[in-house]
Amino acid sequence: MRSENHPTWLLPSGFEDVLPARTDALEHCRRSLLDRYALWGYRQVTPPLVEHLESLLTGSGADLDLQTWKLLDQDSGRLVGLRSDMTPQMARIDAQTSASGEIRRLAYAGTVLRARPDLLGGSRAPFQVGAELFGVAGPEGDLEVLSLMVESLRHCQVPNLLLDIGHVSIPRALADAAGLATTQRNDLLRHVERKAWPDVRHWLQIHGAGQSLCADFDALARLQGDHDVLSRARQQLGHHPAICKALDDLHFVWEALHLRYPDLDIQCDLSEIRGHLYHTGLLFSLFGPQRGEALARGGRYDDIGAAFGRRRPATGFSLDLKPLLRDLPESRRNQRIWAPAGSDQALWKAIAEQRQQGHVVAQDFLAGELPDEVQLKNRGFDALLEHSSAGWVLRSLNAR
Amino acid sequence: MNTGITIALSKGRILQEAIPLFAGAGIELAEDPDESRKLIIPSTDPQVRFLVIRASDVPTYVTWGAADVGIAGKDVLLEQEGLDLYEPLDLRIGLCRMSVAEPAALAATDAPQRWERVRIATKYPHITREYFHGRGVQTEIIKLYGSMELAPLVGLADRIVDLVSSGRTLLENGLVEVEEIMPISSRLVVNRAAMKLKRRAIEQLITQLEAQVRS
Repeated sequence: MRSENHPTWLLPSGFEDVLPARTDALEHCRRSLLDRYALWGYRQVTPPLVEHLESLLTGSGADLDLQTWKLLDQDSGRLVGLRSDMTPQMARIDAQTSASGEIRRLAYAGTVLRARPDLLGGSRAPFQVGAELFGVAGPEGDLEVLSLMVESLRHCQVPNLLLDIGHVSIPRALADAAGLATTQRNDLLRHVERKAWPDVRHWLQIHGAGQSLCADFDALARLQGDHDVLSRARQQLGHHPAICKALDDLHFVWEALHLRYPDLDIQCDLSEIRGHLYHTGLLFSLFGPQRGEALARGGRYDDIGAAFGRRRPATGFSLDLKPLLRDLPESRRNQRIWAPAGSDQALWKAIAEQRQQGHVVAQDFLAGELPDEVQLKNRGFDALLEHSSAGWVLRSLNAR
Repeated sequence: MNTGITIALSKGRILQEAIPLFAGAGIELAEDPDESRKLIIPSTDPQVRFLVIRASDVPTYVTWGAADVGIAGKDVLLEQEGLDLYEPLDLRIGLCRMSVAEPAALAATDAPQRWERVRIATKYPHITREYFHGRGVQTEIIKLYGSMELAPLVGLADRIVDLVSSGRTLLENGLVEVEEIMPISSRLVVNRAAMKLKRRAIEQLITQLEAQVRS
């Protein structure tokens, strides 16, 4: 709805300016995360904001369709989309540019656009940072990516992290056991995704599922918790071979992560299948306190590159930096110095020297009396340059 | 970390029917919400508190994590798009059905299987559209906020889609139920992060409430 009274400079809903203090923090986090990924061998790539729609939506299923902003490219007459997730772009880049059998590690950071926010009233321009590993089929690959995800959030100083792991193959194996067409199977999985167990039971009933399958789904509903969930799952659902294999993977990453991060709280949730339309294996999310949603999320998506000409094992994670920054204390890394106006060459040199040392110096333009020091402090300055018998010297504003 | 649970529910029928379920699970409201004007009501369990809000706001509070758990009718959950919640338990309270109703005179000669285009007054435009489109029937929807029964009587719409419990309001206004869209009951809904972060407390609550529902 457009009102004549609304100022034209208001931003569309779900968009925001990130002002200096938060931009400092965002940029600092972005750089330090990418530097960290580089230390692990993940090299940054910068894909375009816009791609042909087919290439953005291929392999990722209808999940991204409604979220993707679409435009008509007047140059070619084709539909293009604004990326709503950078993972499919990584899969495309990997499929096009890697040698077969090669292990490829890619990292990225950039804004993605959502035609609809993930949450009602939420952001439509998350700042996505992530890492993707291609060419490793075993759980060792997931372990590396999981470790990097945990370290990313620890690096952003999020305390009391909880890691939740699951495996798409477990609910999917049960849905497959119902022996139905893909669309019907996806209906059932949509109920599982919401943990809407009454709807799952009702669905199984009307589709004539047998007693043992109903019992398997009842068991699945309760398979959430500590490490003992895995042994309980083996007893209750071990008669499905695909589930046994998935439990082996979960067991492997659990044990290894527990050794690497003994103080990390880890949970298994075997019915968790959020994003099941494009994931094919292990799924993981990290939660922090006081937040209604996961802070970082990832998983295995082995088949996505097939659409681009090459079938490659793939796993990775991503996170949205913007909400993380809301919880960070404002970080001030540089001293901010005020300098008076004037074209004195000695002052110019003194300013240059401070800047050389990495301090921020803002020179005033109005010559005249020294401004009030309280005012300078309020304007965010920590020190000032003043003239003394020894020339231009730095004086801290905290001193008095 | 805060381990207490905040439960959102709405005044009226859902609250009245939920109180005995919670009481059976050992959780009693510290004040009578019908007497009190407080919006946050503590319970006898120091780890549990209640938010008393409008029914249609319950999913929003829970989706955003402002409440960990809520009780919401299936009608409210289906009507709101973009919800991202778990719905693990059917509490079997607030039982009723979502139905299509029309004036008795129209019903005498009407054949629902031959509907091509209908004009519906409803508080539930999304559910109505999904239902009729699923049947391949064109719909013109008039969104109202209450007293749907009036619309066909004054020519605003030819039919209504609404919740029907005893059917008395329909009867008193000369309307008859011609099709049931779906049965409705209230669900326990849980925030996605709370389900993980407060797993033990929420699992315990679900188990206790499930036992109450079964008994």
